[in-house]
Amino acid sequence: MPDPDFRFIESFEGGKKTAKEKLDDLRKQIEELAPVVAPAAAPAAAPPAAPPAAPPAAPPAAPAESPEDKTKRETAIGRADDLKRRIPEIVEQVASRYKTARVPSEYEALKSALDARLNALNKTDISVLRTQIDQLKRDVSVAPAGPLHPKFEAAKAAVDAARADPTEAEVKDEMTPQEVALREQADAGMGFLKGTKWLFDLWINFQPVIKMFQKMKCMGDKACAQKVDEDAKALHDQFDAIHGTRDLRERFAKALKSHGLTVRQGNNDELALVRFKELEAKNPTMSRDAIVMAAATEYLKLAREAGKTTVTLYGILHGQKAAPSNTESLQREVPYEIKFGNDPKDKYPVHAKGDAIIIGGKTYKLKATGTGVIGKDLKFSQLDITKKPGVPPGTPDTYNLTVSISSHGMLGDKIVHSETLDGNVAVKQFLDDVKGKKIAYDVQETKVFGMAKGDAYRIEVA
Amino acid sequence: MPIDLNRLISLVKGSKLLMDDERKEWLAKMETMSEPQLKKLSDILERAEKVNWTQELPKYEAAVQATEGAVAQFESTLASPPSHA
Repeated sequence: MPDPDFRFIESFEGGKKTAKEKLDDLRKQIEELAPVVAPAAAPAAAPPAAPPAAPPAAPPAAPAESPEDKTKRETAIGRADDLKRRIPEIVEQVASRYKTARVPSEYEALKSALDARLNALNKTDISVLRTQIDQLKRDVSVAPAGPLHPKFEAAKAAVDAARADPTEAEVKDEMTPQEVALREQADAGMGFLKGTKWLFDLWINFQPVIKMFQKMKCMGDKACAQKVDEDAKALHDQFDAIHGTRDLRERFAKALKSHGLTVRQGNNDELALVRFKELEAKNPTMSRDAIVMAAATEYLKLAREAGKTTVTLYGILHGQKAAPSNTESLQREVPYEIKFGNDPKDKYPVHAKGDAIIIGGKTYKLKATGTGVIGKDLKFSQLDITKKPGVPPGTPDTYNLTVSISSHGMLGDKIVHSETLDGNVAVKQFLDDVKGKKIAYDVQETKVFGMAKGDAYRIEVA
Repeated sequence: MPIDLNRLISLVKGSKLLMDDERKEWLAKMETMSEPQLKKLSDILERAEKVNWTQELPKYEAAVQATEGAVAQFESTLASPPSHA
């Protein structure tokens, strides 16, 4: 019977996949989504569920859907969706017309015929399921502020708890020379355009007109017109490289729209852009949209905590929030000391096989599968400490522990504790030792901005 | 029973109930959905897996076509002058 005041997330036990690992699996699969292929999903060992209209038995494994069948299916679904949208409007229009000009019985007869058709459509298995999925879509969109899935919540809380807000100076100190150069270059660009956003907007808005007049001057000369196009593109690229905030805002707006958040233009959009470029430099293997998605997802919880509905790029990329961090209350009692990494002189020593965890004077050796870097050669877990809901701050004996994987990080990611999946023995031993005891952690700032796949890191918890 | 997220992702990616843009939409939303919502999504897609699409799709298409016919009749009535004014 687990100690009720020190419960572990079930996924940790028995070497199952952890919450963060699942979260990362999810992200990875999302990233791999494009281009989406839609083969019949592999029927895993899922519990059978009766269809709404209860076909007698599960059909034999369906062959892969041909492009023609896919088009046919999607066309039918699209047409049905369109009908569902149009019919209420049409019925309303006709009802309105009949109220004044037509014989009610005529209207009733037509409406009955239409209702019967609609009813027949709605009774098909596919339509029933489409209606359910549409309803769920509306529910999710209308009520985005509900509690997250506990596993995602735990994984996100891990990031939050470990999150710190390094000052600009601290970040800069930890940047590589290339990053410093990039930052300075971006800063210079911002300086050039600072206070001249109207110029940029003017240029963007009038660009098509300017281009049209330039082309008119070419008098039908194709080479001339082509050069106009090329010059315009080069100029646009140049502007966008320096001042790509509009594009960024739109991307974030798109990512956050369905969650009820509006991204507005802010006074510090340029600074946010600088921060975003740093993130991009730190995550060279991630697409811009993937980084946006990660940062937006990361920010969503903060926005909810703060009750925000309108946000700025700066707020998103600097993790502004109103609610205090859980870390604050965790820093009060420090009975244990945990250190990772063999060589404390290393800036970001790679956590590897044989690394020691020191807990309260006892040393535990990690059993890793090899040596390497996060998400590449080794799989790392994250030990997270989150407060049990409803427990007031400063009661450190009531935390839940979860272990989760971080294959790549997001904005502000800090790894609190790491362990390999194969090294669960050490973590379990650690958990056994601390179970039921008062425990608190002070996460030392790692100064790693936007932990990324391939980053090496050093964490100290003391 | 806890949700098998990998199974759910696999369902979203492969379900015939969804269009391609909807797959992306659901995968993006998934992280911020509550457990009951994820369960509901999973249930719906599991049911869709059990549908015999070879048999059901023609029925669905026929029903769509018939409804479109009824809608067209309705619309033409709307456009025509009243028979009893």
